[in-house]
Amino acid sequence: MDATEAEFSWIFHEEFASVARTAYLILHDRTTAEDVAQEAFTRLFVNWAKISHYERPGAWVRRVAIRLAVRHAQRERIRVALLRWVEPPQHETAAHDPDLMSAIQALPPQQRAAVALHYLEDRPVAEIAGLMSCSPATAKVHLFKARKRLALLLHERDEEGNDAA
Amino acid sequence: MPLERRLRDGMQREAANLAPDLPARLEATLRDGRRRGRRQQFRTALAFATVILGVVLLGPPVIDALRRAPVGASPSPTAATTLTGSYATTLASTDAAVTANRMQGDWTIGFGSSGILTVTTPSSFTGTRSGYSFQVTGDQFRTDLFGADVCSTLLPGTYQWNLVSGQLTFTLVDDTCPGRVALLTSASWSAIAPQ
Repeated sequence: MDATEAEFSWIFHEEFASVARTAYLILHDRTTAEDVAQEAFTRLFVNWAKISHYERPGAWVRRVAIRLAVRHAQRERIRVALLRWVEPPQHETAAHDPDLMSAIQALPPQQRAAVALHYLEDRPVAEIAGLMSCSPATAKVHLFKARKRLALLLHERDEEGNDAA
Repeated sequence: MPLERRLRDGMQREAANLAPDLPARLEATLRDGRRRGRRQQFRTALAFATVILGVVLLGPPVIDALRRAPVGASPSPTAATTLTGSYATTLASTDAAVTANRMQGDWTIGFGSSGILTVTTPSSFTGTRSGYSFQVTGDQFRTDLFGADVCSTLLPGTYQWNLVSGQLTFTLVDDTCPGRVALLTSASWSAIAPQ
């Protein structure tokens, strides 16, 4: 392993698991989430000579992974919708809170990404917007709609006073 | 449990279940990355080779077309009324380019109103006699005469011209073609007839 690969390995160990976990909350499939994260890191490696000079290469790879995950989830939603009458959608088992995971899975992929970045990574709206390559206003709308929908699905009241029913 | 807390706790618990095999994933990432890097280098080299091949194959026809292209815009009215006509001279120069192209002898040169230049040459001269053009701007005269063979240059020559009492003279301004310089500047040209 040469110096470049050693340097890359360092950021890989720092960021891979976190990126894969965020992708998992968008995709709801562990293997696919890891594959998406790996694809994002492969792109990072190919462009490492340039991106290693960025202030935060980790943000670059996270943005790529989120974009890939959202696209994959969008394709998957279409595929599932088309095949729903043939085979019912399969959910990953052994979730701590299966209702919560089902509710998140019911969200559009962009909203899933927004809630994952907000509740899992604890990021403010401005950073969510940067990572999702959208405006802060759009990110805020994604979060608002996601919260409203989750409250409805989970029969709970969200903290902004919106009643589930 | 409030929604915000349920979401935060639930997502963090779910995400924590994901524990990727980092060494295996890193190895696969590096392997794939190296392969793509090599492919990218190959594509770059291929694109470079394609450009070179294109230049080699298409370059000569393009250069030839440029060489045969007219010198420029049609001549100005001043030039057409003043320079238009035919002129004659005898080339006796012993310049190397003159002897090499067997240019010694009687020459006539015709300046058409449409910017076409024609020459009548000594019988010994074997170069191309037609397909040339000229342009006059004020006292500047530009021509691609002999560009097809004797000159072997894309660049037209530039001269200063002067017509006094039927005697036309050219003074070299800029021309890298010795044969053309010798023909135009060795002696003055006598007007034969206006065209």
